[in-house]
Amino acid sequence: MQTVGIIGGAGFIGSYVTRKFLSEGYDVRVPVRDLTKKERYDHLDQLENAVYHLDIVEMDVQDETALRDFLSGCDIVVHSGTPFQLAVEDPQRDLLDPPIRGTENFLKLAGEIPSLKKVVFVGSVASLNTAYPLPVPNRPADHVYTEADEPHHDADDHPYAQAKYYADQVVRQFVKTHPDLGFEVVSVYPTFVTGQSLSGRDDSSSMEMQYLFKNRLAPNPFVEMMFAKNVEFAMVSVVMWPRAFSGPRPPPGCTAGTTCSPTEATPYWTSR
Amino acid sequence: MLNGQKPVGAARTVYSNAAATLNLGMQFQPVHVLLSEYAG
Repeated sequence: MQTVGIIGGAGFIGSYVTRKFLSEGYDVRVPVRDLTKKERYDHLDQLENAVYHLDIVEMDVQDETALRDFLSGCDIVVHSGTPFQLAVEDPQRDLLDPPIRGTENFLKLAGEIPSLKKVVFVGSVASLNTAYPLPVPNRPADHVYTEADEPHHDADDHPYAQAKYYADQVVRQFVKTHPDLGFEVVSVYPTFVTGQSLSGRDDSSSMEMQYLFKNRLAPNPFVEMMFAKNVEFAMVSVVMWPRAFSGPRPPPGCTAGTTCSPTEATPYWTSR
Repeated sequence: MLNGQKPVGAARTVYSNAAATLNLGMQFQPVHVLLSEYAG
């Protein structure tokens, strides 16, 4: 029986990952920050095979000792633990530092775990293009992005995207400088993930985005930017708003359907 | 689609998942299948 640790395993994406591993017969460990907040993870207890094969562990992933204990004995670790957070007080402190330091720390500890065979990072398309959802400047409009593209970084882009970029660079650098690693590293870069929440919670970024779309709201700078920049978006068929991303878009500071004058006075990601 | 209408614009691939299909053996479902299930 193999053991998989799933950091972020109670979150929107992570819950699906947890369900999949449980259904495949793995022993699964999922860390949560606070065991008393049962509403954040009790949906996992309902999953197939959870009774005998799911272990919920209280842990702060920034606690090195606790993280080492968590990783010990794992054959596989899936790291899906970085929240999508747009509104912050201090981008460096709140967005850039935690995932970068966290990734460095995680990899350092992972290298000490002899049982580990595979690590999977659930990253973000922002690791490949910090301008996302805009295209990389100066690339042809019909460019199809692949792993062959050099990741694009611009220090003026959203700090969230930059954090994803830097965290991914930490992983790439680690792999380069550790040619004899005992485990394989896989990174996946989802573009945008949404759909039904296994948890029933509505505090994930995916559910927040669904709420905005369904209620025709563009309250935060990131969403406003998507509208203002006429971002062509795959999800054209949002419930109740069929032309959400293909018809007229509201400019920054406006809710959908209104007519306001666009303003570009501040970077689109600046909290207001 | 979720609202039963066809997309207004033509679809195209922007970020390729070909490497995931090749390297990881992953199979992807067309998004309209997932959306239909979700909406249903």
